[in-house]
Amino acid sequence: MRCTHAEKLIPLFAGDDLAAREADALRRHLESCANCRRLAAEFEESRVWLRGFPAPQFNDLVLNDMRDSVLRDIGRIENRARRLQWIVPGWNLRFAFVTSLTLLLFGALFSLAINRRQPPRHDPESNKVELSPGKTPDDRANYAGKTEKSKAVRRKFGRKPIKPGPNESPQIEAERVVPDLTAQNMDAAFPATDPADTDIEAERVVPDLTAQNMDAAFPATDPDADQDALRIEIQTADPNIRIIWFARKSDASPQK
Amino acid sequence: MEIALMAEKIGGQDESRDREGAVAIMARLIIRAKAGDTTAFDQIIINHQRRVIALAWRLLGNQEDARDAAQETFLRVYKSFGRFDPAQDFNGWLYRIAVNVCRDLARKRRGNHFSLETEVESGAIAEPASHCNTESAAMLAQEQAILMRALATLPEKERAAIVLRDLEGLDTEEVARILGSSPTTVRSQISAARVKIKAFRERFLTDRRGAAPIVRN
Repeated sequence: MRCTHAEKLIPLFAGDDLAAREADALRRHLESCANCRRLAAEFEESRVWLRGFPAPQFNDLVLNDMRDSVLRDIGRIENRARRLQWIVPGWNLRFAFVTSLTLLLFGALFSLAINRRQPPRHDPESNKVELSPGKTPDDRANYAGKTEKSKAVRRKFGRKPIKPGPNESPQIEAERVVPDLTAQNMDAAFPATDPADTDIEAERVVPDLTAQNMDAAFPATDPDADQDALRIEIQTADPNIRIIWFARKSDASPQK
Repeated sequence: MEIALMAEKIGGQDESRDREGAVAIMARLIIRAKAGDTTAFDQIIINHQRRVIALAWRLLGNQEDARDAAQETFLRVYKSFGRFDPAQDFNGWLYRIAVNVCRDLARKRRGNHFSLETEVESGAIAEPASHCNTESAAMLAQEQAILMRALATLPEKERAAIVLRDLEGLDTEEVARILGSSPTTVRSQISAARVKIKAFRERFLTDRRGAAPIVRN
Protein backbone atom coordinates (compact mmCIF):
# COMPACT_ATOMS: atom_id res chain seq x y z
CA MET A 1 0.00 0.00 0.00
CA ARG A 2 1.25 3.44 -0.86
CA CYS A 3 1.22 6.37 1.56
CA THR A 4 -1.15 8.42 -0.66
CA HIS A 5 -3.70 5.62 -0.51
CA ALA A 6 -3.11 5.09 3.21
CA GLU A 7 -3.69 8.82 3.90
CA LYS A 8 -7.12 8.51 2.35
CA LEU A 9 -8.01 5.53 4.54
CA ILE A 10 -6.61 6.79 7.85
CA PRO A 11 -9.57 9.11 8.75
CA LEU A 12 -11.91 6.12 8.47
CA PHE A 13 -9.46 3.78 10.19
CA ALA A 14 -9.46 6.14 13.20
CA GLY A 15 -13.18 5.56 13.70
CA ASP A 16 -13.06 1.85 12.83
CA ASP A 17 -15.14 2.49 9.73
CA LEU A 18 -13.02 0.48 7.31
CA ALA A 19 -13.84 -2.95 5.97
CA ALA A 20 -11.79 -5.74 7.65
CA ARG A 21 -9.67 -6.39 4.55
CA GLU A 22 -8.76 -2.71 4.06
CA ALA A 23 -8.12 -2.25 7.79
CA ASP A 24 -5.68 -5.20 7.81
CA ALA A 25 -3.81 -3.85 4.75
CA LEU A 26 -3.55 -0.40 6.38
CA ARG A 27 -2.42 -1.89 9.70
CA ARG A 28 0.41 -3.66 7.86
CA HIS A 29 1.37 -0.39 6.15
CA LEU A 30 1.33 1.52 9.46
CA GLU A 31 3.78 -0.96 10.93
CA SER A 32 6.29 -0.06 8.25
CA CYS A 33 5.55 3.70 7.78
CA ALA A 34 6.27 6.11 10.63
CA ASN A 35 4.66 9.12 8.92
CA CYS A 36 1.38 7.36 8.37
CA ARG A 37 1.51 5.99 11.93
CA ARG A 38 1.87 9.56 13.26
CA LEU A 39 -1.00 10.72 11.08
CA ALA A 40 -3.20 7.89 12.33
CA ALA A 41 -2.36 8.84 15.93
CA GLU A 42 -3.33 12.48 15.25
CA PHE A 43 -6.68 11.44 13.81
CA GLU A 44 -7.30 9.19 16.79
CA GLU A 45 -6.52 12.09 19.13
CA SER A 46 -8.83 14.42 17.24
CA ARG A 47 -11.62 11.86 17.42
CA VAL A 48 -11.16 11.42 21.16
CA TRP A 49 -11.26 15.20 21.53
CA LEU A 50 -14.51 15.32 19.56
CA ARG A 51 -16.06 12.46 21.52
CA GLY A 52 -15.04 14.13 24.76
CA PHE A 53 -17.42 16.90 23.92
CA PRO A 54 -20.26 16.28 26.37
CA ALA A 55 -23.87 16.77 25.44
CA PRO A 56 -25.12 20.09 26.80
CA GLN A 57 -27.22 19.82 29.94
CA PHE A 58 -30.44 21.68 29.36
CA ASN A 59 -32.33 23.14 32.28
CA ASP A 60 -35.46 21.32 33.39
CA LEU A 61 -37.34 24.57 32.88
CA VAL A 62 -36.47 24.59 29.18
CA LEU A 63 -37.34 20.90 28.81
CA ASN A 64 -40.66 21.22 30.68
CA ASP A 65 -41.57 24.26 28.64
CA MET A 66 -40.85 22.35 25.43
CA ARG A 67 -42.89 19.35 26.59
CA ASP A 68 -45.83 21.55 27.62
CA SER A 69 -45.79 23.20 24.19
CA VAL A 70 -45.84 19.81 22.47
CA LEU A 71 -48.72 18.54 24.62
CA ARG A 72 -50.65 21.77 24.07
CA ASP A 73 -50.26 21.41 20.31
CA ILE A 74 -51.30 17.76 20.48
CA GLY A 75 -54.39 18.75 22.49
CA ARG A 76 -55.27 21.26 19.78
CA ILE A 77 -54.85 18.60 17.08
CA GLU A 78 -57.00 16.13 19.02
CA ASN A 79 -59.75 18.71 19.59
CA ARG A 80 -59.88 19.39 15.88
CA ALA A 81 -60.03 15.68 15.17
CA ARG A 82 -62.79 15.23 17.77
CA ARG A 83 -64.84 17.96 16.10
CA LEU A 84 -64.48 16.18 12.78
CA GLN A 85 -65.36 12.87 14.43
CA TRP A 86 -68.60 14.41 15.68
CA ILE A 87 -69.51 15.11 12.05
CA VAL A 88 -68.34 11.79 10.67
CA PRO A 89 -67.67 8.93 13.06
CA GLY A 90 -64.57 6.98 12.14
CA TRP A 91 -63.11 9.93 10.27
CA ASN A 92 -59.91 9.22 8.43
CA LEU A 93 -58.17 10.39 5.31
CA ARG A 94 -59.36 7.52 3.13
CA PHE A 95 -62.95 8.10 4.18
CA ALA A 96 -62.62 11.83 3.52
CA PHE A 97 -61.20 11.13 0.06
CA VAL A 98 -63.95 8.68 -0.87
CA THR A 99 -66.68 11.01 0.45
CA SER A 100 -65.38 14.02 -1.43
CA LEU A 101 -65.01 11.96 -4.61
CA THR A 102 -68.60 10.72 -4.32
CA LEU A 103 -69.88 14.24 -3.69
CA LEU A 104 -67.98 15.54 -6.71
CA LEU A 105 -69.37 12.79 -8.91
CA PHE A 106 -72.89 13.42 -7.65
CA GLY A 107 -72.51 17.16 -8.28
CA ALA A 108 -71.28 16.57 -11.81
CA LEU A 109 -74.21 14.25 -12.62
CA PHE A 110 -76.69 16.71 -11.13
CA SER A 111 -75.37 19.62 -13.18
CA LEU A 112 -75.42 17.46 -16.31
CA ALA A 113 -79.07 16.56 -15.71
CA ILE A 114 -80.00 20.22 -15.16
CA ASN A 115 -78.22 21.27 -18.35
CA ARG A 116 -80.12 18.69 -20.38
CA ARG A 117 -83.50 19.93 -19.12
CA GLN A 118 -82.73 23.62 -19.73
CA PRO A 119 -84.42 25.12 -22.91
CA PRO A 120 -82.17 26.61 -25.59
CA ARG A 121 -81.23 30.24 -25.16
CA HIS A 122 -82.95 31.39 -28.35
CA ASP A 123 -86.27 29.86 -29.32
CA PRO A 124 -86.76 30.37 -33.08
CA GLU A 125 -90.50 29.55 -32.97
CA SER A 126 -91.51 32.12 -30.40
CA ASN A 127 -88.68 34.39 -31.59
CA LYS A 128 -87.95 35.31 -27.97
CA VAL A 129 -84.67 36.87 -27.14
CA GLU A 130 -83.23 36.29 -23.70
CA LEU A 131 -82.92 39.47 -21.70
CA SER A 132 -79.61 40.57 -20.42
CA PRO A 133 -79.48 42.13 -16.95
CA GLY A 134 -80.31 45.85 -16.87
CA LYS A 135 -82.59 45.75 -19.93
CA THR A 136 -86.37 46.03 -19.73
CA PRO A 137 -88.58 43.89 -21.98
CA ASP A 138 -89.71 47.10 -23.78
CA ASP A 139 -86.16 47.88 -24.82
CA ARG A 140 -85.86 44.43 -26.25
CA ALA A 141 -89.18 44.69 -28.10
CA ASN A 142 -88.23 48.02 -29.65
CA TYR A 143 -84.88 46.72 -30.67
CA ALA A 144 -86.37 43.54 -32.14
CA GLY A 145 -88.98 45.56 -34.09
CA LYS A 146 -86.37 47.91 -35.48
CA THR A 147 -84.06 45.15 -36.59
CA GLU A 148 -86.92 43.26 -38.26
CA LYS A 149 -87.98 46.40 -40.11
CA SER A 150 -84.45 47.17 -41.26
CA LYS A 151 -84.01 43.59 -42.41
CA ALA A 152 -87.21 43.83 -44.49
CA VAL A 153 -86.04 47.08 -46.06
CA ARG A 154 -82.68 45.56 -46.95
CA ARG A 155 -84.34 42.50 -48.41
CA LYS A 156 -86.48 44.80 -50.62
CA PHE A 157 -83.47 46.80 -51.81
CA GLY A 158 -81.31 43.74 -52.19
CA ARG A 159 -78.53 45.23 -50.13
CA LYS A 160 -76.24 43.65 -47.65
CA PRO A 161 -77.03 44.43 -44.00
CA ILE A 162 -74.88 47.17 -42.58
CA LYS A 163 -72.88 45.90 -39.68
CA PRO A 164 -72.57 48.19 -36.67
CA GLY A 165 -69.16 49.71 -36.05
CA PRO A 166 -67.12 48.81 -32.99
CA ASN A 167 -68.47 51.79 -31.00
CA GLU A 168 -71.96 51.79 -32.43
CA SER A 169 -75.01 50.25 -30.87
CA PRO A 170 -77.48 48.23 -32.95
CA GLN A 171 -80.05 51.03 -32.49
CA ILE A 172 -77.81 53.47 -34.39
CA GLU A 173 -77.49 50.90 -37.14
CA ALA A 174 -81.28 50.65 -37.38
CA GLU A 175 -81.58 54.43 -37.68
CA ARG A 176 -79.04 54.51 -40.47
CA VAL A 177 -81.18 52.34 -42.75
CA VAL A 178 -81.95 54.05 -46.08
CA PRO A 179 -85.67 54.79 -46.16
CA ASP A 180 -87.84 53.37 -48.93
CA LEU A 181 -88.37 56.42 -51.11
CA THR A 182 -90.55 54.95 -53.80
CA ALA A 183 -93.51 57.01 -54.80
CA GLN A 184 -95.92 55.03 -52.65
CA ASN A 185 -93.73 55.27 -49.62
CA MET A 186 -93.06 58.94 -50.20
CA ASP A 187 -96.75 59.56 -49.82
CA ALA A 188 -96.75 57.74 -46.57
CA ALA A 189 -93.52 59.38 -45.43
CA PHE A 190 -94.46 62.95 -46.47
CA PRO A 191 -98.25 63.16 -46.56
CA ALA A 192 -99.60 66.21 -48.20
CA THR A 193 -100.97 68.38 -45.45
CA ASP A 194 -102.35 71.10 -47.72
CA PRO A 195 -105.06 70.07 -50.22
CA ALA A 196 -103.62 72.61 -52.68
CA ASP A 197 -100.42 70.68 -52.72
CA THR A 198 -102.14 67.71 -54.35
CA ASP A 199 -101.74 69.28 -57.80
CA ILE A 200 -98.09 69.80 -57.27
CA GLU A 201 -97.99 66.27 -56.03
CA ALA A 202 -99.61 65.04 -59.24
CA GLU A 203 -97.04 66.87 -61.31
CA ARG A 204 -94.29 65.48 -59.21
CA VAL A 205 -95.22 61.86 -59.97
CA VAL A 206 -92.49 60.22 -61.98
CA PRO A 207 -93.94 58.31 -64.88
CA ASP A 208 -93.06 54.68 -65.48
CA LEU A 209 -90.78 54.95 -68.47
CA THR A 210 -90.14 51.31 -69.26
CA ALA A 211 -90.03 50.38 -72.95
CA GLN A 212 -93.52 48.87 -72.96
CA ASN A 213 -94.98 51.82 -71.17
CA MET A 214 -93.21 54.20 -73.48
CA ASP A 215 -95.09 52.72 -76.41
CA ALA A 216 -98.32 53.20 -74.53
CA ALA A 217 -97.42 56.69 -73.39
CA PHE A 218 -96.30 57.91 -76.80
CA PRO A 219 -98.31 55.98 -79.38
CA ALA A 220 -97.40 56.50 -82.96
CA THR A 221 -100.13 58.74 -84.29
CA ASP A 222 -99.36 57.92 -87.88
CA PRO A 223 -99.15 54.24 -88.81
CA ASP A 224 -97.03 55.10 -91.83
CA ALA A 225 -94.85 57.26 -89.79
CA ASP A 226 -94.09 54.23 -87.60
CA GLN A 227 -92.41 52.63 -90.55
CA ASP A 228 -90.40 55.76 -91.12
CA ALA A 229 -89.43 56.13 -87.43
CA LEU A 230 -86.09 54.98 -86.21
CA ARG A 231 -85.99 53.65 -82.69
CA ILE A 232 -82.65 53.89 -80.83
CA GLU A 233 -82.36 52.25 -77.41
CA ILE A 234 -79.46 52.85 -75.09
CA GLN A 235 -79.15 50.74 -71.96
CA THR A 236 -77.53 52.57 -69.04
CA ALA A 237 -75.53 50.99 -66.26
CA ASP A 238 -78.65 50.92 -64.14
CA PRO A 239 -80.84 48.11 -65.50
CA ASN A 240 -83.97 50.13 -64.63
CA ILE A 241 -83.00 53.04 -66.90
CA ARG A 242 -83.05 52.71 -70.66
CA ILE A 243 -82.88 55.66 -73.02
CA ILE A 244 -85.12 55.28 -76.09
CA TRP A 245 -84.85 57.78 -78.84
CA PHE A 246 -87.28 58.00 -81.79
CA ALA A 247 -86.23 59.78 -84.92
CA ARG A 248 -87.44 59.93 -88.48
CA LYS A 249 -85.47 57.80 -90.90
CA SER A 250 -85.31 60.70 -93.33
CA ASP A 251 -83.65 62.79 -90.56
CA ALA A 252 -81.15 60.07 -89.86
CA SER A 253 -80.21 59.47 -93.51
CA PRO A 254 -77.28 61.51 -94.72
CA GLN A 255 -78.38 64.54 -96.72
CA LYS A 256 -77.19 64.66 -100.15
CA MET B 1 -10.68 -15.15 39.05
CA GLU B 2 -13.54 -17.47 38.13
CA ILE B 3 -15.81 -15.67 40.59
CA ALA B 4 -14.93 -12.34 38.96
CA LEU B 5 -15.66 -13.74 35.53
CA MET B 6 -18.98 -15.19 36.73
CA ALA B 7 -19.91 -11.86 38.35
CA GLU B 8 -19.09 -10.08 35.09
CA LYS B 9 -21.21 -12.57 33.18
CA ILE B 10 -24.12 -12.14 35.59
CA GLY B 11 -23.67 -8.37 35.39
CA GLY B 12 -23.77 -8.56 31.58
CA GLN B 13 -26.87 -10.73 31.69
CA ASP B 14 -28.53 -8.22 34.05
CA GLU B 15 -27.61 -5.41 31.71
CA SER B 16 -29.04 -7.16 28.66
CA ARG B 17 -32.14 -8.10 30.69
CA ASP B 18 -32.53 -4.43 31.69
CA ARG B 19 -32.14 -3.39 28.09
CA GLU B 20 -34.74 -5.91 26.99
CA GLY B 21 -37.04 -4.71 29.76
CA ALA B 22 -36.57 -1.10 28.65
CA VAL B 23 -37.30 -2.08 25.05
CA ALA B 24 -40.47 -3.93 26.13
CA ILE B 25 -41.64 -0.94 28.20
CA MET B 26 -40.92 1.35 25.27
CA ALA B 27 -42.87 -0.93 22.90
CA ARG B 28 -45.87 -0.85 25.25
CA LEU B 29 -45.67 2.93 25.49
CA ILE B 30 -45.53 3.21 21.71
CA ILE B 31 -48.61 0.99 21.28
CA ARG B 32 -50.52 3.03 23.86
CA ALA B 33 -49.41 6.33 22.29
CA LYS B 34 -50.43 5.04 18.84
CA ALA B 35 -53.88 4.35 20.25
CA GLY B 36 -54.07 8.01 21.31
CA ASP B 37 -52.94 7.81 24.93
CA THR B 38 -51.43 11.24 25.62
CA THR B 39 -49.96 10.12 28.96
CA ALA B 40 -47.96 7.41 27.19
CA PHE B 41 -46.78 9.93 24.64
CA ASP B 42 -45.78 12.30 27.44
CA GLN B 43 -43.68 9.47 28.89
CA ILE B 44 -42.03 8.92 25.49
CA ILE B 45 -41.15 12.63 25.37
CA ILE B 46 -39.66 12.47 28.87
CA ASN B 47 -37.54 9.46 27.89
CA HIS B 48 -36.15 11.00 24.70
CA GLN B 49 -36.27 14.77 25.08
CA ARG B 50 -32.68 15.17 26.30
CA ARG B 51 -31.22 13.17 23.43
CA VAL B 52 -33.36 14.93 20.84
CA ILE B 53 -32.67 18.43 22.10
CA ALA B 54 -28.92 17.68 22.42
CA LEU B 55 -28.82 16.36 18.86
CA ALA B 56 -30.70 19.41 17.64
CA TRP B 57 -28.32 21.69 19.51
CA ARG B 58 -25.29 19.97 17.97
CA LEU B 59 -26.80 20.25 14.52
CA LEU B 60 -28.19 23.77 14.79
CA GLY B 61 -25.77 25.39 17.19
CA ASN B 62 -28.11 27.35 19.44
CA GLN B 63 -30.52 26.62 22.25
CA GLU B 64 -33.58 28.41 20.91
CA ASP B 65 -33.49 26.63 17.57
CA ALA B 66 -32.74 23.33 19.31
CA ARG B 67 -35.82 23.76 21.50
CA ASP B 68 -38.01 24.59 18.49
CA ALA B 69 -36.59 21.63 16.57
CA ALA B 70 -37.22 19.22 19.46
CA GLN B 71 -40.79 20.49 19.80
CA GLU B 72 -41.43 20.09 16.09
CA THR B 73 -39.81 16.64 16.15
CA PHE B 74 -42.19 15.33 18.83
CA LEU B 75 -45.16 16.86 17.06
CA ARG B 76 -44.18 15.10 13.83
CA VAL B 77 -43.69 11.87 15.75
CA TYR B 78 -47.20 12.16 17.14
CA LYS B 79 -48.68 12.91 13.72
CA SER B 80 -46.78 10.06 12.02
CA PHE B 81 -47.38 7.43 14.70
CA GLY B 82 -50.04 5.87 12.50
CA ARG B 83 -47.38 4.97 9.93
CA PHE B 84 -44.84 3.69 12.45
CA ASP B 85 -44.35 -0.05 12.61
CA PRO B 86 -43.64 -1.12 16.23
CA ALA B 87 -41.24 -3.78 14.88
CA GLN B 88 -39.08 -0.92 13.54
CA ASP B 89 -36.30 0.70 15.58
CA PHE B 90 -37.98 3.62 17.34
CA ASN B 91 -34.74 5.47 18.11
CA GLY B 92 -33.64 5.37 14.47
CA TRP B 93 -37.04 6.62 13.37
CA LEU B 94 -36.95 9.41 15.97
CA TYR B 95 -33.43 10.42 14.89
CA ARG B 96 -34.49 10.50 11.25
CA ILE B 97 -37.37 12.84 12.05
CA ALA B 98 -35.14 15.02 14.24
CA VAL B 99 -32.44 15.30 11.55
CA ASN B 100 -35.05 16.22 8.93
CA VAL B 101 -36.60 18.84 11.21
CA CYS B 102 -33.15 20.31 11.94
CA ARG B 103 -32.37 20.38 8.23
CA ASP B 104 -35.62 22.25 7.51
CA LEU B 105 -35.04 24.68 10.35
CA ALA B 106 -31.42 25.30 9.33
CA ARG B 107 -32.55 26.16 5.81
CA LYS B 108 -35.13 28.57 7.18
CA ARG B 109 -32.71 30.26 9.55
CA ARG B 110 -29.52 30.19 7.55
CA GLY B 111 -26.88 32.55 8.89
CA ASN B 112 -27.64 32.13 12.59
CA HIS B 113 -24.42 31.96 14.54
CA PHE B 114 -24.08 30.27 17.83
CA SER B 115 -21.97 31.10 20.83
CA LEU B 116 -21.64 28.70 23.72
CA GLU B 117 -20.78 31.54 26.10
CA THR B 118 -24.01 33.32 25.30
CA GLU B 119 -25.91 30.09 25.81
CA VAL B 120 -24.30 29.54 29.23
CA GLU B 121 -24.79 33.18 30.17
CA SER B 122 -28.45 33.05 29.21
CA GLY B 123 -28.84 30.12 31.62
CA ALA B 124 -30.29 27.74 29.05
CA ILE B 125 -27.32 25.41 29.34
CA ALA B 126 -26.17 24.42 32.79
CA GLU B 127 -22.44 24.46 33.43
CA PRO B 128 -21.00 21.04 34.32
CA ALA B 129 -21.35 20.48 38.06
CA SER B 130 -18.19 18.35 38.30
CA HIS B 131 -15.98 21.35 37.56
CA CYS B 132 -15.87 23.24 40.80
CA ASN B 133 -12.85 25.13 39.67
CA THR B 134 -14.12 28.09 37.72
CA GLU B 135 -10.92 28.30 35.71
CA SER B 136 -11.15 24.75 34.44
CA ALA B 137 -14.86 25.24 33.79
CA ALA B 138 -14.06 28.27 31.69
CA MET B 139 -11.42 26.25 29.84
CA LEU B 140 -13.91 23.48 29.14
CA ALA B 141 -16.52 25.96 27.94
CA GLN B 142 -13.93 27.49 25.66
CA GLU B 143 -12.95 24.12 24.27
CA GLN B 144 -16.60 23.27 23.69
CA ALA B 145 -17.05 26.55 21.89
CA ILE B 146 -14.08 25.73 19.65
CA LEU B 147 -15.51 22.32 18.94
CA MET B 148 -18.90 23.72 18.10
CA ARG B 149 -17.26 26.21 15.79
CA ALA B 150 -15.44 23.34 14.14
CA LEU B 151 -18.77 21.59 13.61
CA ALA B 152 -20.31 24.82 12.34
CA THR B 153 -17.72 25.01 9.57
CA LEU B 154 -18.85 21.68 8.15
CA PRO B 155 -21.41 21.36 5.37
CA GLU B 156 -24.88 20.25 6.50
CA LYS B 157 -24.57 16.60 5.46
CA GLU B 158 -21.04 16.10 6.77
CA ARG B 159 -22.06 17.67 10.04
CA ALA B 160 -25.07 15.40 10.43
CA ALA B 161 -22.98 12.34 9.57
CA ILE B 162 -20.18 13.11 12.04
CA VAL B 163 -22.58 14.07 14.84
CA LEU B 164 -24.54 10.84 14.45
CA ARG B 165 -21.46 8.64 14.05
CA ASP B 166 -18.93 10.12 16.49
CA LEU B 167 -21.08 12.00 19.00
CA GLU B 168 -24.24 9.90 19.11
CA GLY B 169 -22.26 6.69 18.60
CA LEU B 170 -24.46 5.16 15.87
CA ASP B 171 -22.89 2.76 13.38
CA THR B 172 -22.37 3.73 9.73
CA GLU B 173 -25.30 1.65 8.42
CA GLU B 174 -27.65 3.24 10.93
CA VAL B 175 -26.40 6.72 10.04
CA ALA B 176 -26.93 5.92 6.36
CA ARG B 177 -30.52 4.81 7.08
CA ILE B 178 -31.24 7.97 9.07
CA LEU B 179 -29.75 10.28 6.45
CA GLY B 180 -31.28 8.36 3.57
CA SER B 181 -27.88 7.79 1.91
CA SER B 182 -25.74 4.78 1.12
CA PRO B 183 -23.11 3.61 3.67
CA THR B 184 -20.37 4.46 1.13
CA THR B 185 -21.58 8.07 0.87
CA VAL B 186 -21.80 8.34 4.64
CA ARG B 187 -18.24 6.96 5.00
CA SER B 188 -16.87 9.56 2.59
CA GLN B 189 -18.79 12.32 4.42
CA ILE B 190 -17.42 11.14 7.77
CA SER B 191 -13.89 10.96 6.37
CA ALA B 192 -14.07 14.52 5.00
CA ALA B 193 -15.54 15.80 8.28
CA ARG B 194 -12.77 14.17 10.35
CA VAL B 195 -10.07 15.74 8.18
CA LYS B 196 -11.64 19.21 8.61
CA ILE B 197 -12.11 18.84 12.36
CA LYS B 198 -8.52 17.68 12.80
CA ALA B 199 -7.28 20.71 10.83
CA PHE B 200 -9.48 23.03 12.92
CA ARG B 201 -8.22 21.51 16.19
CA GLU B 202 -4.58 21.82 15.12
CA ARG B 203 -5.08 25.49 14.32
CA PHE B 204 -6.73 26.02 17.70
CA LEU B 205 -3.91 24.24 19.56
CA THR B 206 -1.26 26.26 17.70
CA ASP B 207 -3.04 29.48 18.69
CA ARG B 208 -3.23 28.40 22.33
CA ARG B 209 0.43 27.41 22.50
CA GLY B 210 1.57 30.56 20.73
CA ALA B 211 -0.20 33.15 22.89
CA ALA B 212 -3.09 33.60 25.26
CA PRO B 213 -6.15 31.53 24.32
CA ILE B 214 -7.98 33.08 21.44
CA VAL B 215 -11.62 32.41 20.91
CA ARG B 216 -12.96 33.63 17.65
CA ASN B 217 -16.64 34.44 17.90
